[in-house]
Amino acid sequence: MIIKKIAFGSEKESFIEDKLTDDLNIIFSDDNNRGKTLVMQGLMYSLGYEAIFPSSFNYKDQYFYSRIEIAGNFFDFLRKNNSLAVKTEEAIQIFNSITEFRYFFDRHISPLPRITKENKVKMVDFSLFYEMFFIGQDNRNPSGLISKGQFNKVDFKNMIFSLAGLISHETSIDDINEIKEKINRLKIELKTIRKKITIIKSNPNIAEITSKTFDLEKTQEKIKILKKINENISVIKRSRQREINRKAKLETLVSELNSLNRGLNEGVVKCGDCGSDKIFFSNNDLTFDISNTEVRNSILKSIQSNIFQKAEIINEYTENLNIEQDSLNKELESSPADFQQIIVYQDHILTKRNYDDEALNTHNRIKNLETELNLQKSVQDDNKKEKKKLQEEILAEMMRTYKAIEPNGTLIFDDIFTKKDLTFSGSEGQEYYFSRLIALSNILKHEFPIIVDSFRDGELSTQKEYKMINIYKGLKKQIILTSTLKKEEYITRKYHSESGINALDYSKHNDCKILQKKYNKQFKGLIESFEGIVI
Amino acid sequence: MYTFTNTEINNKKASEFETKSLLYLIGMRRDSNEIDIITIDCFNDVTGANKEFIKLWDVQSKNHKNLPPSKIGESLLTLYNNFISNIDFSEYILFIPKLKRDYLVNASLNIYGYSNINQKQKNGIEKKLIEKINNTELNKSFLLMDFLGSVTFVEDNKKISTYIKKIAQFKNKKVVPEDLYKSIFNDIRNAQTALKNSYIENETINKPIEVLKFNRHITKAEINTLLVSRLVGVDVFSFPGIPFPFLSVVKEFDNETAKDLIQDCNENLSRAFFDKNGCKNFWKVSEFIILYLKENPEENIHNVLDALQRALSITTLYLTNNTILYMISLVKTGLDNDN
Repeated sequence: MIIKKIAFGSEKESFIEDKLTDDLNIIFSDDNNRGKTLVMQGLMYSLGYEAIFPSSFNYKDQYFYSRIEIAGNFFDFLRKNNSLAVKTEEAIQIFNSITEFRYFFDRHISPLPRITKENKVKMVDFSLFYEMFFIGQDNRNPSGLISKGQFNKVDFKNMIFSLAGLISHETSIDDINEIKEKINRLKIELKTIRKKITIIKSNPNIAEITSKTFDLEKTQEKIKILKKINENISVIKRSRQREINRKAKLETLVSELNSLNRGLNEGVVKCGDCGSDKIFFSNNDLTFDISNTEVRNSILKSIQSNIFQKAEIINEYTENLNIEQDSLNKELESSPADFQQIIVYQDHILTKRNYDDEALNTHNRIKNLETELNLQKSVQDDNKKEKKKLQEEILAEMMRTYKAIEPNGTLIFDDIFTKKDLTFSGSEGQEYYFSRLIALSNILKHEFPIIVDSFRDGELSTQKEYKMINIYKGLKKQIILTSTLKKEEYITRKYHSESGINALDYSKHNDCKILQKKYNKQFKGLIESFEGIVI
Repeated sequence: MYTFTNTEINNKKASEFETKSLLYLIGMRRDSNEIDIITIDCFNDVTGANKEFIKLWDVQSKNHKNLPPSKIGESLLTLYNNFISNIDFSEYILFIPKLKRDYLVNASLNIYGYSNINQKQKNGIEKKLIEKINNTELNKSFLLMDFLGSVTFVEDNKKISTYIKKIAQFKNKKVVPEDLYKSIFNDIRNAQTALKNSYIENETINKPIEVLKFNRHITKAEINTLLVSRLVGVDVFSFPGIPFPFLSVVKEFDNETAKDLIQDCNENLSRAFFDKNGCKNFWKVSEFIILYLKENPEENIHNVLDALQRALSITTLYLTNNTILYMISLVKTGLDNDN
């Protein structure tokens, strides 16, 4: 995969980076706040990564565009909020959720690894996947993942095993502990839910007494928040309902198609002389059938895979719905039991949330986790040895890389992640990430570029920096780095004098103002190339 | 225990070879675009013709593992008979497996004239041919040399699927499974075999075009429709995204409605591909769309639909306007406009 172009902005102001080469690129500036991070995060965001932008940047109103090449095919991506459009040479596809986009990415761009989690085989999400080759500037954390989504570092390791062709069943102690913790949490949750059921059933008026003391302003604010959550819930529910309808239609279609083509399975007319089943009408103005078994099977297969996808998407919607419902619950819990609110939202609460169902659900989840725990504990994995070997190879490669830039270094990598209590000083964190990126690229031989925002983080010494740059060059793949130069480095045109580096200077951008009017015409062209589809 | 030994083992192989020669005629020659109709087992195994039947390409195919000079000579007999007949054929083609390389002057060629065969083998070929014609006066005669000089020898050196791919001219970014190509090949082979079941021995015609009355021909348009409709069929429910031409239809709707619309179109198309009763009408519709787009590759999909509705009545219920527009978009996206 090669990044060809990055752009973001709106009709009013925008920015386009189209000078990237297929080799080593360094985006630099003489000071901070020149937009390097926005470009890096914007690129990843356009490809489905989560939004990790500086708080001052209002990403929700912007379009994020990128053009990539993968295995000779070009893809254009355009994202705004959670809507995303992908354009190929012959088609355009629009997604209302990143989940949906993931399935497209998996099928038509690059397959995403599957891992086992909570007893289910799951496709990894972009935040986990991209961490294999992308390190952002913020939220770095060598003992865990940069992005805190539904996946954890055990999943990251399983993803690596899966990429190397080793299917994951293995569990570390961490994982078992995590499951245990989850069971405990759920048990407490279950208790709370049961308590709520009793309260609601026995005395819905309980909060009346406190209502008079509740400050009006706070109530208004609360109402706003609750309204927003309720809106989210109904949006998700609507989307989910539409997917459920589509899935149901497809399921009926399969049986309909089978009956339309009965001739296939039941008796066929055969020629008494030669036994051939190719009997033609004598008026014979149709030489061929409109389809053959291959085509029909292929259609059925595609329908099945659509149904499967829809089932997954419906599940994801349900999960998102639960998250929203949880936050609604939290909001309600955190406020004093205000009668007015309860009255206003009682209908919602009681219809949108069925505590009985939830109790059952939680109960089932506990049951599932317990099964998984038992399974995890008992299964002696055949792959264990191979995984250990792979992990050792990766660690050895990490050590080799680390020693190449820091021959006298004292860090020892005994796991793909570092221990929680280990504190890094100076540029050690940077060196860890570097070693990991290089090792994963060399061992997995993945087809993705390496992207590091602020690759000299932690005052990396010049000597080490050059060693890193040389190793990057040796990878013979696209590398995109950013760095903020010191004044003296900037004056000596540091990267320009170095061969094999495509140096992109962002110093001219105004402070905190990478978006400019001068790109608008070109940017508009990029958006319009999506044929006026509004996302 | 009983072992079947005297069955017609060569039938399948021979007909497969005839299909290959048919595909060679309509797709792999420099003048393939002139050939519109293929007659089966009339003048010869396979004979190509242009629309007006003014130009004819005569093919004899011989699939023998070993083709010694005598066998080659024997194989040339029907071509010779056509050569001396009242009808003018513009090409005489012998479609054969690879010959032993030491028969040839330039062994790197797969398509060559009589002059590329070594003298020793030539002698054997001529001896057998004359024996078959049963006219010794022909030996070294002007007529015989003239005939041999006009024969093109074409060696089959490709896989079944390659023949189909060559004539498909249909962009399909996805990897089309090899089996699909094979199954299309089999469809053509079966149709070809079925055409031979009628009886025309001793029938007489005056002009080549009269052969059409025997209904032993396949048109290039049919083969094209067959190929494109098979490949479009595989696109149903699996085409990634909205084909560009279809955007004009989708634009008016919000995303969710657009998605429902596309699913509806896919559902209807799948019905069309499965429905045995409506299949004739759908075939006609497909044939029209493909021919029309080949001639007017830039035409807007709505105009194609208009033209279609003027030309044909669409009786298949689920072929709604949107479904047809979607089908047109898939065909348009797939047809390689460069060719």
